[in-house]
Amino acid sequence: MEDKPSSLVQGTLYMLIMKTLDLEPMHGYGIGVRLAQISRGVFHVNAGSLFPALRRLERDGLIRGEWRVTGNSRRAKYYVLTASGRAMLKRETRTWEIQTTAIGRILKASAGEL
Amino acid sequence: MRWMRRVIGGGHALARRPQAERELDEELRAYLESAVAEKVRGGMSRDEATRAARLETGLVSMDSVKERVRATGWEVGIETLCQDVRLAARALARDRSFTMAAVVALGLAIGLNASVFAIINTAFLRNVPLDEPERLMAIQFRDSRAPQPAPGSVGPGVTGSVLGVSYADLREWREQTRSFEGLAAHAPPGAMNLSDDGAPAERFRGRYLTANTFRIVRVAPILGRDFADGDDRPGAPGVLMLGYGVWQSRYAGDPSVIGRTVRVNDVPATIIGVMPPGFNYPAVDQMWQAMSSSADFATTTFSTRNLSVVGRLKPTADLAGARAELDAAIARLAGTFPDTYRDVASVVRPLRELYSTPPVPMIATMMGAVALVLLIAYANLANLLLARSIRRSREFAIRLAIGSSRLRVVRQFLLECLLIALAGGALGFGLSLYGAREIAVAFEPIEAGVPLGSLDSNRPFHVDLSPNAILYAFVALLSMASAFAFGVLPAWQMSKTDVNDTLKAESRFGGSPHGRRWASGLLVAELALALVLLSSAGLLWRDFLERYWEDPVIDTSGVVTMRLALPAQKYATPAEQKRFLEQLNQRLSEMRVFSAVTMATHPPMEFGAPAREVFVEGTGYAPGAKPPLVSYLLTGARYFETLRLPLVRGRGIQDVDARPGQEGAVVDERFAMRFFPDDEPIGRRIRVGAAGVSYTIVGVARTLPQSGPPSGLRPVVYAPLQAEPAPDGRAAIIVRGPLAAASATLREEVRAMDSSLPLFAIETLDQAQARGRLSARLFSTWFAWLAVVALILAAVGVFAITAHSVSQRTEEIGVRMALGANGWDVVRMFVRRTLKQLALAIVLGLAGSLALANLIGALLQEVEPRDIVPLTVVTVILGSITLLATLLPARRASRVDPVTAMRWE
Repeated sequence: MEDKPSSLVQGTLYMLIMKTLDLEPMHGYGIGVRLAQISRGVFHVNAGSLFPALRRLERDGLIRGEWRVTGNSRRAKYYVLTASGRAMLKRETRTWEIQTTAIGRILKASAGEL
Repeated sequence: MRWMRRVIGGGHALARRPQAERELDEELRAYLESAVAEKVRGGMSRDEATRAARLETGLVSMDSVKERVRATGWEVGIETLCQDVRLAARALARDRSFTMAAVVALGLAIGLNASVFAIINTAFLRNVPLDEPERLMAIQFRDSRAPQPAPGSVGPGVTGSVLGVSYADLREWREQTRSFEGLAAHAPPGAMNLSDDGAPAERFRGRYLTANTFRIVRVAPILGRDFADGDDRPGAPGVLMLGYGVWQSRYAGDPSVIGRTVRVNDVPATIIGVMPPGFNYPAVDQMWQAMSSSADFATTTFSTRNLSVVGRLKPTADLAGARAELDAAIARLAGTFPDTYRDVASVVRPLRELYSTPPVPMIATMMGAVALVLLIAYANLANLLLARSIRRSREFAIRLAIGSSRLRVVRQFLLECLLIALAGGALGFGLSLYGAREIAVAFEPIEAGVPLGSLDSNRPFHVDLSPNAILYAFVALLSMASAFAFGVLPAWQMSKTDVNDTLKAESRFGGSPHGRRWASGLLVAELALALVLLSSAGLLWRDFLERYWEDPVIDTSGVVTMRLALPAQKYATPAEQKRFLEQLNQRLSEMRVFSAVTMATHPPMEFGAPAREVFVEGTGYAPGAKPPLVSYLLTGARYFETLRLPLVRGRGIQDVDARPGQEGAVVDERFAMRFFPDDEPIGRRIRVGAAGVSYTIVGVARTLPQSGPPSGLRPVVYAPLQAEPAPDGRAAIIVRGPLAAASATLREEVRAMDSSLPLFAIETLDQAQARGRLSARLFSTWFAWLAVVALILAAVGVFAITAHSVSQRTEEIGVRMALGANGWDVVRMFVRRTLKQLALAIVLGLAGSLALANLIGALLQEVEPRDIVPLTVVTVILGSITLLATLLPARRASRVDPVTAMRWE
């Protein structure tokens, strides 16, 4: 059930995390749950991939971490998307869309079109 | 931008590391707890939930996740590095004897290199320690028919093509150029005889300057006032600026000397100030007077070209512009004064080029020698490290097996090398502070045999051996390069450690054959290089010993010499000088106090006697060819008797030889062999100087040994004082007797003739000879030390390698002994291998020595560079030391107990 992240997915992981945080600030576990939910079980991220990605995003100033108290009155670190993160997300999403459209076109091409 | 953020983030994390650790821990725990809680909600038991959650989230090992998180930042690299450094330091500290040997060896080698570099730095690289030295320009004339002077060619009168400037030229230039803040000039050094009521007359080396000189170089007196513009006008009252040294030695630092009137060269002068300590501009000058006090100024025309001009460029001007401006000015002047400005062109160059630099062959030899020592040290260290890494190969294999990356292991090893190199560098730097000073003393050879403070030295005043940024950089770079140089080979060997092979069986026969061949090759290289150094040192030493033991020809014990110099202000014409000298000669010949007293223009056996062209009657010279030079020595009565200088043919100089028309001279054997190899020299006529006196040769004397560079050895012509109409204004009195009595009596004699004339350089001939040989002795001693260091390094290398080989091959030795070999067989085994290496090294080393023969030859006086004797001696020395270094550990091998050996683990 674990997805060993391929290099392609690793790059997009940042984008996916940022999108998740765009919807709503979340702590680490919440992000993992939300990703699994929205992708209908395709993407399960484990801690060994998630937390390094979170650290990298935080270093680059794209997300910001804040310690808050959760529902069961425990402390958890919540992440918020920053303004530059939002801008980056928009850019990445557009790039992704362009790429997938192109890939789709290639994959759907029949012998005659090439 | 992003990288800046990352840097800051990393720094931040480094700073608050414990807190960051805690937070990460807390975050991961919270993550796990959330996952467990969810599973429990789904109905699992706490334990099952925990296990399942761990697996699902990948948090089985929290540490490995933490590692991965940490690895995202760059600061983790720093932490690893710090860790590695600590490990490396600990590893070195454990192996104390190895570490110390390595650091000392490298320290010696680096120290030697740094010392030589310090010399090169101050002589060639550093600028003069004045304010904005790059804007100070030296301006001279040159003979436009001759080629451009080379950098380092010294002031007027020394090399043919560079000429001085006259006061008239200076005046014109001051008016016609705009590029300079000011133009100052100084005359060649002269003797300043300082006399006042307090103490007997003393002679100092002084300079005549224009009044603005110190303002141009921007150094102010520490006491009193600087020269004022009126001080150097013709007829101005005499003024004197003291150097710090004179102020201390003669006036004990008394500030009340300012304003005191003294006599300089018998002319009254007022002391106006004292310059700072260490200031001897422009060379080694001890005091200064205004130009108007100079004899040339007063008596001759303005067109005497003997000044050196120094100018400071305005901030807005540059060298090219200044040159153009000057050339234009000269062109204009040539129009007005065609004769004065015929065939001259200006030379404008940075001030530092005015100073002489140490001779290139000597520098090249030193650099080559210390580089060789460095290479030997590298080879040594590489070998030691190779041996050590073989010893630790098990440890490396284990570390590789449990997961350390190969890169990390090698990196740690290189860190050890770096630590050794840095420690060696620090030690070397410390040694060089001391060593550079010692070597610098050996650099007086430029004017070997000439007492310091004399008229002839042009050693720059700014020889400053204190470390500066360039020296630090050099030592740092050299240390780091060293780490790489001696570490790369063992590191490479180590990176090829095969885990399986190493762990399976203790490498039986001393490591991979590849490694052994490298070690052997390095050893051969070490020995060969050591041989090259030893042979050079041997040659230099033999040369020095030859010079030391050479027959002095005359009995130097109990002979005292003292010198005097007639100042030009008082004895302006050659006739006046000659009169004084003849008077002195007369008085000396009538003295009864001493059994033997005489005079000459120059002390015997010393470098620096006046050189003249000689023309032998009956031989012609091709037009344009330069006539040969001889040392022209004018002697007083009883010269040959006083010195007891033996004559091989004919007779010494007598009164009859001074009669005009019948002048007679004595030549030395060198002269006779050079010019009359097959003929009888007696009776032949020679002329000294193109328009000089002609002499008939009346005798041939034994050649006296001369001190000084090999190129300076000249044949000598002894002529009677009375025959020469234009003697030098210098004289040396030679007397046989005790030093104290002789100097006191003769001082009185001279004082009776002229009270302001001091005697100086009073010493016995023995002392003079020792002084003349000083630089040669220092240089060859220093070189010998180098060679000894090289020998020790090589010997230690041989010892270490053999010892290591013994310990590696203990099993093999045990087997051999069990099979019947006895102790000697084992020893022979090792010795034979060393002999092979030694033979190869000797062949290579001798080839190298012969190849470098010419370079060494430039420094040798008496010995041929291919001399067999020193080469043989050093080869024997090297061979025996090497064999000894092999025998010691090999003997230990022979005492191995076969049973224990085969059980050796």
